[in-house]
Amino acid sequence: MDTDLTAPDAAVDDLVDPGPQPGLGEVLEEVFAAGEPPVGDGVDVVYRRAEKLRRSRLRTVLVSGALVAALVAAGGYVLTTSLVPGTPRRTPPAAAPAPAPDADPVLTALRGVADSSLRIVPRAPAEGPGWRQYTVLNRRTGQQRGLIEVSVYSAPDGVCFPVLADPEACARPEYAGDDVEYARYADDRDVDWQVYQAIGRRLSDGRVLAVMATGERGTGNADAGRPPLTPLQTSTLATDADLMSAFGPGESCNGPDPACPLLKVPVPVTTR
Amino acid sequence: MASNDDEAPHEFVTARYPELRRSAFLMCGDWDLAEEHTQRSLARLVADSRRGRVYDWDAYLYSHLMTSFARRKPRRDHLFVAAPDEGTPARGADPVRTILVLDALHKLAPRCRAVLILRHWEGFAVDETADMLGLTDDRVDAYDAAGLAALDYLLHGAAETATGDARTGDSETAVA
Repeated sequence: MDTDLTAPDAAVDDLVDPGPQPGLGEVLEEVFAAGEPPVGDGVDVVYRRAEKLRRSRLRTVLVSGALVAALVAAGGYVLTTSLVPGTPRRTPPAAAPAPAPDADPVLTALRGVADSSLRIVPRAPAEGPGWRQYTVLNRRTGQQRGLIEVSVYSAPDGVCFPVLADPEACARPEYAGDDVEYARYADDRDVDWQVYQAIGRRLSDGRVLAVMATGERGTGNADAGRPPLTPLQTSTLATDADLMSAFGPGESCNGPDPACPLLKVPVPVTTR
Repeated sequence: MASNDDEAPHEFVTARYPELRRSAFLMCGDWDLAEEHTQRSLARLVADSRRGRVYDWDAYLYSHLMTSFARRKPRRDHLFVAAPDEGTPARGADPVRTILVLDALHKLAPRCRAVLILRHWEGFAVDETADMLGLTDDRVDAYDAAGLAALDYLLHGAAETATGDARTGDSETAVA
């Protein structure tokens, strides 16, 4: 008997009745002759699952979006800090805009002496009667390098240049030209507080100029905490007659002015 | 029938549910599994049609259904269970024959089985079947011919074993 299923009237061999053979569709129909389970709440289940699927997809989208945003932000930060030069890592707390060079002769003098790799800007509060202070930054990296404080005093009767090792003694000053005597100090024992300071006194009028360069505090590293001016540079500034004249005739930190810099080596002058 | 932007309507889902479940049953021989696949495929259709991603609901449905079975390892040793007694068995129902047919069907590869079901049970055309299964038209024809020949051989051979009658003169058809 022909059992070719491909012909329209072809038949699968019937176990019981060797009559006309059904097509595959009819054969498969017989599978369901025994019945099938009721649909019940199947359709409701479909819609519940669809809603669950929709919520799951929404969660995935939100999480993916947040992750992408975080990656983009992190990538941008890494690129910015590594590729963009001169981006300051830390902004000085209240760095005032640098005044025009001729508006601040003290700043002009400092910039004329300091290394060209450094950038000197006023540090707020930038000035007071008898004093000025400046923040020093690495010009390329923007890293803070320390602080420069300049203050003037009046000592017409002379000054006992301190000796660090002997509070009772007076140091023998050095001389810069004919009119200025000075002493310089270096205290770099503490890597987190390294100070180079120089005190100069103009013999003609007793004006004293103190220049103190303090390295960046808390670096834990001798090189990183080194003051932004060398001892020679501080003494050059402290003996600069023009710098001494940059302050007004009435300016003085003889005191008592709490805003005047607290020098590592105080200038022993008479308090007014 | 297909709506590009609207969610698949409730009437469509309700109408397709029993049909799809039967096709799923023919694929796996298990009513519970067939129900699971049916619900999953319809839920996917409802979810995706809400987003306007479905252009032909039937094609999407059957494509998803058949693909899900293609990923499953066929359970060749599964004992096919007849439907529960809730319904009244139709006249002429033969549980033995049902099992034989299902067993023969299940001996075919999933893709071949899917082609036969889509072509001969659901009545889809060759090109429609090809689209649903991701095949070429020629491939569908090849699967169809091979599947029919294999079923013929399997059922013919089973019939001979069951009845004990020797069948002579039958064409020998190679099992696909």
